[in-house]
Amino acid sequence: MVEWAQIVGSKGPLLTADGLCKAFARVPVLWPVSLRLEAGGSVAVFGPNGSGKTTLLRLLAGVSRPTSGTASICGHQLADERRAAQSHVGFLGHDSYLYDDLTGEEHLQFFGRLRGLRFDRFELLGTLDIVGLGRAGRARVKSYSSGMRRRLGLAWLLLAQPEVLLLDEPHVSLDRDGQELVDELIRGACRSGHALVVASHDTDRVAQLCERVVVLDRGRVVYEGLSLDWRRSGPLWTLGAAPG
Amino acid sequence: MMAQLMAIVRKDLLLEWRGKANLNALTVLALMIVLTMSFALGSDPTRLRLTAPAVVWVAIVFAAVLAFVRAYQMESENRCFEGMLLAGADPRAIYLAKLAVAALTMLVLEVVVIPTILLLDGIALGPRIWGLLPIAVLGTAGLSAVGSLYGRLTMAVRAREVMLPLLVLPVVVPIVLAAARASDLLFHGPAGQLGTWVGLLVVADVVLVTAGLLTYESIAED
Repeated sequence: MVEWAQIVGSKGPLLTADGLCKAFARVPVLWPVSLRLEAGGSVAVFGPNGSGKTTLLRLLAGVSRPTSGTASICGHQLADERRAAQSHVGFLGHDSYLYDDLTGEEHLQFFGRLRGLRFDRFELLGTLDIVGLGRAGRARVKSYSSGMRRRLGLAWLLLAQPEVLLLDEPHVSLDRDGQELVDELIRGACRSGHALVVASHDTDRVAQLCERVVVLDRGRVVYEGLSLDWRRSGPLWTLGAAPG
Repeated sequence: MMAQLMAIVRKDLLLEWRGKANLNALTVLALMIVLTMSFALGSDPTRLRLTAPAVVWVAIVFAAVLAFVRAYQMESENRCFEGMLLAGADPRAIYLAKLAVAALTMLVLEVVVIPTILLLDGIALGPRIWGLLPIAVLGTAGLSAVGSLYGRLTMAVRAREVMLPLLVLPVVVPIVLAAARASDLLFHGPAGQLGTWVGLLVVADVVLVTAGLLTYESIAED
């Protein structure tokens, strides 16, 4: 059973992005993107490969600096208070951020200490059980499959309980059980007042989980609206052929 | 910040212990450098004794550069460095932890290498060996301060094994010079100038660690 702490007493939006742009070597990869998520808000980001989904999530996570524009997490500006902002963010990206020679449990304890959290053994084992890694928690990560690494990332999110969740292709590498676990995690997080940004190619699945949809194409926002409207007009917005 | 520093030191030492082939390889490399230079310098015992401090520090510097490459190699795999930042690590804690672990690794290596060359070159291991301890600690701290900073700078560079020595070696010249001169004076005298070189090491360490702390945050991000 996935359990999220209820977000209470949130004043103002949990996440705001205002005109975020990114260029690499003066080549723009993301044109101005603006977002605003209140507690319990969720947005799905769709787009073909290279459309800027991961770039957007990395900017929101504070691991990449925008060329222009601003973003804030729980009232902390990423440009000026990056660490304070990141303490409210959980980022599940393409990279596992795991050391091959540490065990799953050691990773969770290590990341917890960096965030000022202490987990008792009961808490750790319980969370590892939820994500289906109960027995593997004491094994070194080098013996993990990519799906197991993904599950360990989910375990970290459940333990850290960040207010803002940034999930980049969260269903990738997971078996059917794992994908359902991600669905349950997203639904539970929304119900508990967390804010979510989910980038995915699995449009049918993720559009059902999030309340809004943003579609990117070659770095530009080409659609923004309610996921209900997206699902109705879905066939017109086949990814890779979005009208410019 | 202290709790973060300790957590990163613990993690790095655990990884170092589990992949201890790294320390073994560094020690063997340092010993090979010492032996090769001893052979190249010939069999004149006086010359060997006089050059021993310089040989030791050259061996330590080259082994240290490899240790710095390794320290950041494990952070670049799976973007682990970024993972630490995302988990909320203070970049200054990362810097000090990298510095501490690199220094500890080098000190373990020095415990093997320094007595070996002293024995090889016929230098008596008297009570003066304890005088070498602060020189080794100060010299190693200075090297680690530079290596931990430049290691991060070159982490994302494809040819980092080449780039890191090119950046580190010119900067550590004053440390190597001071450490080698202080070691030389300790064993061969006159001891009067020893304080000057040890003082230089202290000043260099303070300047380098301060510079590292002030600049690391800006280079830690993407």
